Amino acid sequence: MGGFLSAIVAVLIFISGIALTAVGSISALVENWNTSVTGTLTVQIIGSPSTTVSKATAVVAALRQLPEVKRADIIARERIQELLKPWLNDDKLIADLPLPALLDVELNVLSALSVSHVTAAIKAIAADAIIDDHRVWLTRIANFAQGLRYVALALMTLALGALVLTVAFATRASLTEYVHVIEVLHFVGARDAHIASQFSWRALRQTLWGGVLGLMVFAPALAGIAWLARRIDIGVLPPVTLPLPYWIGLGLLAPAAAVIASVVAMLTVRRSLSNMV
Amino acid sequence: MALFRSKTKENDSDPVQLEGVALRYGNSPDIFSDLSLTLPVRSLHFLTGPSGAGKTSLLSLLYLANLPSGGRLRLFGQDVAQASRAKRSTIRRQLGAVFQDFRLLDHLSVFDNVALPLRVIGAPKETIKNNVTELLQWVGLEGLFDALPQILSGGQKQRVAIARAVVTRPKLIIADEPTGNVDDAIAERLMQLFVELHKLGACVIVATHNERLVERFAFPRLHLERGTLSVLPAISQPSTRAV
Repeated sequence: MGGFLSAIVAVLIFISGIALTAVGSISALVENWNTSVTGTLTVQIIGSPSTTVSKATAVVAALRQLPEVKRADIIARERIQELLKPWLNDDKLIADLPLPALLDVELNVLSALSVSHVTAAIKAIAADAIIDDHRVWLTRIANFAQGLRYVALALMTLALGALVLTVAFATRASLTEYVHVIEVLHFVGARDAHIASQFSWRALRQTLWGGVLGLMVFAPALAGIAWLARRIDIGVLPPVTLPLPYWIGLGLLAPAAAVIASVVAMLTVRRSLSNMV
Repeated sequence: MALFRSKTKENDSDPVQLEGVALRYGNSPDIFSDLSLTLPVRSLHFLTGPSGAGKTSLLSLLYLANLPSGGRLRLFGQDVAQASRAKRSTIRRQLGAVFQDFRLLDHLSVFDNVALPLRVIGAPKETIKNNVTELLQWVGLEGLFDALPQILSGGQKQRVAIARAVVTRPKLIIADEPTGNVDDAIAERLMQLFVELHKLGACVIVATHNERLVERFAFPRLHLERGTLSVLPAISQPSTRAV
């Protein structure tokens, strides 16, 4: 049974850990986007600088009266120019550009009703205003992220299924080379329960050791992934960490695998013994 | 030698009783049928017969690798076919078997292979150490205590197998060609071990093709040929009672 079972369990625990991290990180990412973007609207008011500023001011004043609106602000022209600078890299050109007035609106509740109510209030003052509630692109990103999350969940489920099956088959396969040991123990008068328990404990210990080994390799790997994620520094990715419940779940995998290996070992040895007189 | 110091308490039941015993494997014809025999305590018999006569099959019944397909086999008064698995384990603890293929555990040292039956019955560590050490010295394997079976010659493996079979001072010793891989001097020494154990009360059966051994040691023979078991007297002057 030896190191084979331990090695297999170590690899599977490591893969399960990576899959759990993927699930946790993508969930955090989706949550992050949902909370930070979904409650906001961006409003563009196009026209000559003199009219856009006055319309923008009137719209902001109207919006601030609405109960659905938590916050409504005009984005300063300097800020818009600053945002454009990395793309155009020409201060004179940017200064001459006919920029629209931009409003950043945060809603208390994002719903179709509140968006239509707010839209109506804006259109009443500035009929040509363009309102972007981010739903189109956000829905696509959210769908993509949700898809990734399902893939990660499927990966984790597969890893867990593989863990269960592999532990069971590896334990059985390992024992086939020990049939002669079972036979000799049987011939020298060892009782069935004693022989089965010897192999069962052995499988339990080796699987637990494999689990510990897998966690020992996974922890620095997680730290490495987290460090790489931090280096990206674009504020889009949430920090890569494994929440405590996930650690507990991962920690419980090794004992669960050990119990499976132990039971399979006991049943396999009992079956071998049942073929002997 | 500690192994030979105290006598075994003799059991009232004969160690081996065969009544019309038959054996066949699956649907194949009987290897033998209707064998009847009683072997008492403190007896030593050679089991002889041509190759293929069924000697190893008969021994396999005695060390409980098989059950009879007909008749009744009693070991220490217990009908083995009726005995529970736990009871059969208890019977196995009272017998020692030397297999033709030795059946040593390759991952255990010579010492641990020989100690195995003592560990199974939960013997104290001191007893294990003393008995195994003395027995391995007796069979001429001093200096190989820590060796693994893979590095041993056929003769050395055979001696380890014999030491393992007798280390618990079993009441019934079944040896299948126990001297097949050793020279005459070692063969004689090993036979002497069986003789000593039989004098202490064990029932010993030695299957062999070694005619010199059968002539050298004056013990009766169980001759198996064409499915018939005959009890023949010792070739030289008889020194033990026949069955």
